[in-house]
Amino acid sequence: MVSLTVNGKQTEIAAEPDTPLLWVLRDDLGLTGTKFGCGIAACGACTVHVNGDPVRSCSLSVGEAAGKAITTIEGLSANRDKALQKAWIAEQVPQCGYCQSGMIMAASALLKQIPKPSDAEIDAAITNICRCGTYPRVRRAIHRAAGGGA
Amino acid sequence: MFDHVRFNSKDAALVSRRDFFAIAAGGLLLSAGAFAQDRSDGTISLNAWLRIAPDDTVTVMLSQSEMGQGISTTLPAALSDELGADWSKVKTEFSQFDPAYQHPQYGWMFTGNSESSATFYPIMRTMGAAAREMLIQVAARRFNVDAANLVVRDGVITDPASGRMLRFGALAAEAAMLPVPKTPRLKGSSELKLIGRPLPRLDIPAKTYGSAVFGIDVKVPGMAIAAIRRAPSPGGKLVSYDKPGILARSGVIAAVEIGSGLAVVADRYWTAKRALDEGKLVFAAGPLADYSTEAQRADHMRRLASGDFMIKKKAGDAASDLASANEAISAVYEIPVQAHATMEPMNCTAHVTTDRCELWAPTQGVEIADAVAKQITGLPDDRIIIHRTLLGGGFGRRLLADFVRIAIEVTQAAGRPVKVIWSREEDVTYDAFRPPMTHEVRARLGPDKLPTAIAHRVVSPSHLLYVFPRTKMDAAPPWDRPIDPPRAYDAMAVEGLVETPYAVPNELVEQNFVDTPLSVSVWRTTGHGPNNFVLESFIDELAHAWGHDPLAYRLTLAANDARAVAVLRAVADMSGWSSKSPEGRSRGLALAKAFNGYVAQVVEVSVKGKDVHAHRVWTALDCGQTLDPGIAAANTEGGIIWGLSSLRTEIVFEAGVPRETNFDGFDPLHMWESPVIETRFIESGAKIGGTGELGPVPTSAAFCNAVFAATSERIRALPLSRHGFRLV
Amino acid sequence: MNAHVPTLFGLALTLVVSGPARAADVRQTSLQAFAVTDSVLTGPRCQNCHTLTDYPRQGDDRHPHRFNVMRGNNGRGASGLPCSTCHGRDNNSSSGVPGANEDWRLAPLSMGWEGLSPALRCAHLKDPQSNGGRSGAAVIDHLQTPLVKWAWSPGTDARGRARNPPSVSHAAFMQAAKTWVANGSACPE
Repeated sequence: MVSLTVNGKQTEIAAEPDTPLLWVLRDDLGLTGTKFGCGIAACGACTVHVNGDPVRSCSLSVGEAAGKAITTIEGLSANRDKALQKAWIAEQVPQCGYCQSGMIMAASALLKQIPKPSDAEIDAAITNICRCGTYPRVRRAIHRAAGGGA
Repeated sequence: MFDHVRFNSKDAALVSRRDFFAIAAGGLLLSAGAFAQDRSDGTISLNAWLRIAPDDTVTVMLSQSEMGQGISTTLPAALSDELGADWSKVKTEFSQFDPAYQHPQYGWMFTGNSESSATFYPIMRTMGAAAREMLIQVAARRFNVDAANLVVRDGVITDPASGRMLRFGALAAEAAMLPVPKTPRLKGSSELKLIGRPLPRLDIPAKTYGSAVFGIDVKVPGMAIAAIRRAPSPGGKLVSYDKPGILARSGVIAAVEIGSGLAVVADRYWTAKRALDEGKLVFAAGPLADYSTEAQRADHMRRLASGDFMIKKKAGDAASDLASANEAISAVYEIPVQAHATMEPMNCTAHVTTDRCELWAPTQGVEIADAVAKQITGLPDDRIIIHRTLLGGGFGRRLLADFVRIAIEVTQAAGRPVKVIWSREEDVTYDAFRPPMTHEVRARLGPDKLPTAIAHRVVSPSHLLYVFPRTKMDAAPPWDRPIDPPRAYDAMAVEGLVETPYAVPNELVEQNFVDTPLSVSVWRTTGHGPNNFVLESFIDELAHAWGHDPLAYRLTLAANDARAVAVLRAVADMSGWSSKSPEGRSRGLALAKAFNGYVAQVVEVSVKGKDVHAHRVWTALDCGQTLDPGIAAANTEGGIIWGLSSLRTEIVFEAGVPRETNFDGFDPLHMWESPVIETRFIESGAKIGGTGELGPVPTSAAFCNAVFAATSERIRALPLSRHGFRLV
Repeated sequence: MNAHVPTLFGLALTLVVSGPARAADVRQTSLQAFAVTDSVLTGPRCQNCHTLTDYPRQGDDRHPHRFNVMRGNNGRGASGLPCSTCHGRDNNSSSGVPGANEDWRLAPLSMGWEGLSPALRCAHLKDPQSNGGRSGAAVIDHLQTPLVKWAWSPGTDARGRARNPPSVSHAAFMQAAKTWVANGSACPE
């Protein structure tokens, strides 16, 4: 049994410790906002926060996640009041939307480190893959959220 | 609606199909009364497209699948606008497969080829207007006034003279009994409040907060999850595996043999995947054992030299004009195999019993899925229920029903609902790829150095075989396999060549059909993308060879096509084409007529050694009428990035196995490689075209023409690495 | 003072007592030991993080780390994309991402070796100004940290293929390093 704290709630998971956190979140906890895109940490669709830092959950075993505070896209904003997500909607960023959970978690992690990132800082931090090509709008939404404060 | 998709089968179409079949395409002709009351939620259907609840909520049925192109907002908005509903309260629901939702000309139900807006926008307007008139008629009767005096707005019908009001919910039941007007009055553009404006998309909040349900997210009671593993060479055979060992693993429910491999059904995806990892699966090569990209390229070149060509277009006499020339200019181009690589890997959830087949699928091709389900289960239409989820990308891949077939086979063997998830490696290896094409262009120039004859020879497999025949014209099961014997006809292999904006007196377009063992199908931009790369690179060569400005040359060639001229002039204006590029930057231009629209594009690059970066892209588009400028702009921006990605991605086969099977090898564009993109839409008022695929059509040529301007090097073989270039 | 110092001191005495002929032998021993150590240091498992660029490298072919991964201000990645985003506390066989029980990060630029001649590399290794303030025994200690030892159990990649460890075992590497230091940390010319 592995003890996890996800979105503020503690829960016991009966899973092999080397199970990727991604699949525990999706299959055991039913938190399907975090997506499977590649399984090799290349695309970022599985990005969550662990103790506030971004982590690609396909590459983090649930054993290693034990005892840490995990936040998923579902837990990012309790009341849908987060500036980043409001900016995301204002800029109409998502198209198919599948990569967007991971994209938002990555953007959120960046804004925590750099409240007003430059384009170069956005380039360096946001490496998630989007097949629909929403990158220009992702960039605009980050700038918009930065402009508007936390 | 997109937050919690309720897969409540009681609300699903267990309504008798006969009643729907009784309605001709678009649901125009017959009264809705026959099925109007047949719902457990008390809503009233006024036609196949909309229901009204007692609390006045309007639910619009979505015939088209949502894969990011925004159609699940635009079409309901059109209906709602015409109807006079309160848009802020409109709900939407993906319909079941039904003839009522088939494309009126092609006769089958699908989402693709950038045709959804053009096809269904007029239907939405008509259906909304018809329903409006039926509701007004009832209100007029109750108020005892002339219908012409009544005002409809935000779901309320008002008699201004008396101030009396009636809400939609109070009128729907009676309205449903009326005959559906055949030619309802459509609102003038000044009366429309939604169409033509950028609307906040209905699906975006759920996609932003993580609650959107894609196929891979489906969960139904009693559901197990399956992982699959197939031969590394597509179509190979599963020779042996450790069945007892797999079944002995904790959490494993079943091991089911499927074509070319094995599915393991378990309580969790990871359990199933680990069982496959350690299941000692042994494979043997199949029909692709000797297939290699190197051999394919050589084969295509041989065909160019001595293959049989079928004429697809003949205007004037290009052959003799070229033969009589002392100098005919020619060039050969090579286009690689591409993978779709939708961010959401292929998946499908299925539950089949003796008397019912229920599917939950992220599909663009629900009718093909229905046909496959019928074929495998033998069940009739009204026993097959297909719930469509959101799609994490389509790009043409999800028209096919192979992922549906596998899910049905697995659920039948497992005896319970199963969600089958493909790994990324399975998704890429067992793609239906964009076929490789080899293309020779020859031209003869007149004294003014404009072409008097252009001849194209295209060597290509079919793009359409898996998809196109699935129409009433050509019913031929099995529905998820190509026609046998294959047909040589393929309109997509030559699209963008048989119809161009250019006036050239002698034209010849020929295709050599390649019967390839590779699994190939339609890929965003279909034949337009590859063919425009060739045509616009070639036109650019002609222009430069004779000292003509690429813009002026094209303006002259396209002078008879006002829409082409308009987009060319617009993009020249946007990009400042006539002024010098900034220091260290070079520009390339390309024009396309595609998907019933026109697009001109300028790409600005800088080159350092062999590294090319695209800084800016300007695009002018004319899709006739832009129904939603926000969505159109998003489709275009994203499409341009798709087009740029296609310059550097490819799938290379070596001894029957793809070299690239994940994003470590198949490398689409990222944030830091993306240009600044500006779009401008021209409202020509012409027939509506689509914006899903239009933007990327000219991107490859515009980019490569910019590289030429910077380096004097012509790119004729893609991807860029064939010329040693990198897109950075 | 740790256990190595008496050994060094003892060897120094040996040097003094032995005379010039012995000194040449000692230098030769040290150089040979350095050559063994250097063969490990210049291998991809070490070199890929001891870069002189603002990015790490990957693979036996040492291509630039994919996905625009950067050094960042402190060698732990660009702000918002720390190395720990993907790299955990152990090799991850599911994703093929390597990890060790230490913060995954780049060596500082001062400890970058790419393209340096063996002589220069050797000098850098010895110099506390460039080797992270380490001298003598501390250099040896560093060679036993989880990150360094990772090179000998580098895990498998995304396709399940094992990464190549250095051709010299860790024990032999440590012995060579100690021998190098004990014999005067001689550098080639």
